[in-house]
Amino acid sequence: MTFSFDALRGASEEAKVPPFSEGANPSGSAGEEAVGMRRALLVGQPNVGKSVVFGALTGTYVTVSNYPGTTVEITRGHAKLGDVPWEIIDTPGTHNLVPMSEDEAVTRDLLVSERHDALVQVGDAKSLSRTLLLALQLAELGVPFCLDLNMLDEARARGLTIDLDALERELPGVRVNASTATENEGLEAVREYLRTHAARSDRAASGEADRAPLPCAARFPDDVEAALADIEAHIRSPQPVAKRALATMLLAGERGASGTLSARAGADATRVAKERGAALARAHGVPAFALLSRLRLSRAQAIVRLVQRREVLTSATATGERARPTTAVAMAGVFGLLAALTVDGALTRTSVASKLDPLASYGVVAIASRIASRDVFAQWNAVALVLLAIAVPAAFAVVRRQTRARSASWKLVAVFTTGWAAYWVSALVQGLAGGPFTSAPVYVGVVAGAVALAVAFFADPARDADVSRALGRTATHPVWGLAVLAVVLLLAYKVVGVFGAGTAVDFIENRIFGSPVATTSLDAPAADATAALATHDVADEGAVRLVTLSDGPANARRVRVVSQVKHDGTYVADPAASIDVYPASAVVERRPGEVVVQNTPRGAEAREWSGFVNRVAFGFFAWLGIPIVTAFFVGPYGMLTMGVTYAVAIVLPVVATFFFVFSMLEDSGYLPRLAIMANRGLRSMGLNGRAVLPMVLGLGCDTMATLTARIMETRKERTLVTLLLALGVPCSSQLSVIFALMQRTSHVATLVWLAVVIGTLLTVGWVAARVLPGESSDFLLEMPPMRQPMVGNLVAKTMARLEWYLKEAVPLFLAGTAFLFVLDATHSLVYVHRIGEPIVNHVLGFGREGGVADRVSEALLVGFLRRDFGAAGMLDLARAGKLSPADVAVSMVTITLFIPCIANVFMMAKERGWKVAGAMSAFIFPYAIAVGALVRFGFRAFGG
Amino acid sequence: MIDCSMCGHSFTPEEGAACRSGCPVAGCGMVTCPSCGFEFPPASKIVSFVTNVTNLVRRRPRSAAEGASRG
Repeated sequence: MTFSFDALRGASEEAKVPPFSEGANPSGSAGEEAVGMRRALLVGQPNVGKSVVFGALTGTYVTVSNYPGTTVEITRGHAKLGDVPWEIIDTPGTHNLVPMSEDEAVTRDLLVSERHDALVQVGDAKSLSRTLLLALQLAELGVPFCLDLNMLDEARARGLTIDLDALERELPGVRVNASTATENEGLEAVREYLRTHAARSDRAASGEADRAPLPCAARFPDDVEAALADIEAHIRSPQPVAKRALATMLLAGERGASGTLSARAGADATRVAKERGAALARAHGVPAFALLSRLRLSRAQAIVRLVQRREVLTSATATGERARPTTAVAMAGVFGLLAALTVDGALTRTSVASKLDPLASYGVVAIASRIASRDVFAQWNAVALVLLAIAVPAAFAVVRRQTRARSASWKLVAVFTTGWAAYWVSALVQGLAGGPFTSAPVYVGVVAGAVALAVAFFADPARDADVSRALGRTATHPVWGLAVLAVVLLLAYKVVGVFGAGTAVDFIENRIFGSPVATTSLDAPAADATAALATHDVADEGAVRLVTLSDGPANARRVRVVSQVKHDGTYVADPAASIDVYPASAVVERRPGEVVVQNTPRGAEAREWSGFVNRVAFGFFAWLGIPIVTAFFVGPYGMLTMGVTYAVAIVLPVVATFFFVFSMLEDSGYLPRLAIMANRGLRSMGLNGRAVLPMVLGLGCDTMATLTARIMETRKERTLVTLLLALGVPCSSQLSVIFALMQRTSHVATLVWLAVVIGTLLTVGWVAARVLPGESSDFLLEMPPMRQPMVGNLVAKTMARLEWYLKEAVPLFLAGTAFLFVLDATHSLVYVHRIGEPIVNHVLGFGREGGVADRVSEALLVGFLRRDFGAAGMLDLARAGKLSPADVAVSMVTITLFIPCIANVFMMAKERGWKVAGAMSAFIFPYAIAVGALVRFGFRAFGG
Repeated sequence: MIDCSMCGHSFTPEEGAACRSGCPVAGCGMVTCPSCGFEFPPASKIVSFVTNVTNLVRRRPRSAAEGASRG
């Protein structure tokens, strides 16, 4: 690996580039604590390693005291550099000299209230633009300072190189250094700076003249400069720092801090600044604070572009090595298979609606048999086959040419997504136009994919960073950002709702866990075999039944149990059926698709199973022969058949795919951009921008996010965020099951659900905007670049979240099942059904047929224990085809608006008190039911 | 070191566990970014186990590139 060491120079070399002359005169110090003592301030953003630099400069003897009038702690230490004693002050981390918190106000006051002999800004070398944003403000103070870019090792690890000489040229008056403070690397230069700085500080301390801003301070547009000149003229003298700094701070406004700045600058200056600030805000359409920050940021970014380079960090870069042919073949093969599946799915379906889910019903076996079948050649035409034949070698070429396999794999994903999105949009347009479906959208998709493949082939890998920046800008754009969000949600739905809740749940629930697909009693076998086998009493295609027939003379007590499956309207024998008889000892003969039993006791039964886990477990407990134990583990409310099956077979595949998508969003750098988008929406609701983080965290776990509501500044804001989290922000497992339910309902119902949830958040936000006093504060979030996620990291993160989920959810799922079992065993469940019926049947409108209303009552009851447990019950009903699209929509709305789980209620009580938690619960539950009833009413009114 | 998925800040597992003092959720196992407050599970025990076993089997020495970055 090559590495540029531009960012690190030896201390000896630094000594040759003195910004200030040697020859300190300690007697002229401005130190107040002791004659000859000089003072230096360490300034920087939070978590940039200031304290480590402080420790390296001062050693272990430090004093900690509160800044006067505050609870903010200031750490002071001493150092002897050369012959001069120094006091070093570690200031609280600050992002900005226009403070937004008490900590930041203390740092600002420390800077502008007294004269200092030296200033050292510690910055994060990985986040140069953020560091320079503060440096440009410090430059306005007129105090020459040393900018120490810390965490150099981490910057190196990310392939960042910084040209320090160029940076120093861009920041005249500023001494630039780079260090890894944790390893004491590069800190000698900071000590050297303080030593050589002494002479200059003598002059500065004398107070002969006001300070002027450093030459590198940002130059603003003429109207801003005129306003600053006007304010400066009204600031009283003398000041320990340049008046321009005070003018910019006054112009930005004292946001949420004490009035120390106004007191220092004078009432005239404050008044002029207020007038000028308001005028600039009107002229530019943004507050003066935001205007100045924006202008400084653009200057900082211009400098970053000049001095910082990002290198591709793989051995391939150094050696020019390309991806191995085997890797390229494997990736091209996967790409070709996906492309073939999509084209095949699109070509072989007829209705537009089903075309939106081309991968919906494709299991692994179905894929293989489908691709290998003659149908492919019969239904595909020559054009599709030729395009596919070109796509695979082209994908191989892309992987080989792009040198980095990881980069190439994501480019192939992008190619596939482009083609798929083009197909989807064209199919949608065709569907909305009402015309018959043709193959046109398929070819639109294929051509778009081919063009994207060509672009990926010819694109220069060195321009990846430009693509990343463009993507990042698009994701936060007010209009295009929404389009990106829509695509992200759609892809998440496809992965979670279609693949996770469809293919994966089908496989795990039916092939692995399984359930009795047919049950029959052996007590009353039919005498007339022909008639019994010919009866049609089940309407569903594919339905399975067991028919019990007398085998031989009645007194022989021999019975045949035959499995049949309905196919094309008639029942036919199913030779692959797995039939178990309880007690198993009664079986005397097994034939394909049937068993013969003899001398069965009364109450004996036969079951046909779809999977093996529950089948084996049921067999074991039936063999044990203790009815209560059997019912507890494998009964209708059994720990295994309900608790574990819900947790592992139904919810786990769905949350696993959701966590994978969530990890992908995290690693791609999209989440902070989503926070920025949400911030915009929240502010328009009059909410504090800081509410973004709890909201985004709530998508993971509302209970944890409720805790994060502590970051809100006022009690009312915390209460509001807690309420919004409990009411309208679905947690990860909840959202996963919602995605799964979406698959069982119409697009209209999905839109209704979305509208209700967003409408609830907006309405509560609107009310809060009128209830909450005070102005909102800003939300500052560092924006990492958009990145290509690594598959290994995604798997590791998904596994970590799954382990957490299993530890968190499974015990509650089991507790919920046990609760239901006890209610059932004590015959109390019937009361739940009776109490729930008026709400579920009359208010929410669920039908009584097939026990649907009873099951929904149970789902709502246990949904309180854990919302996804209730939702899983709904999903189970939906998968069994017992819920209409309107039923699903009502379920989705009601369960989303419920409080997520009992743990969340405890957390609400812990954080906000039982009174508030009780009041919220008393509001949320009736509200959820009422909104569910409204949705039902809407569906009925419009014939849904 | 752990990289925050939200803001990119790198921090040690100890810094990430600082949220646990005074937290009412006992043993949640999450780490919290000291810079922006984002919470996430630190590492998968299964993946760590598999990685350790794989490393043991491979016994791969530290790459030359890592050493070079110090020089």
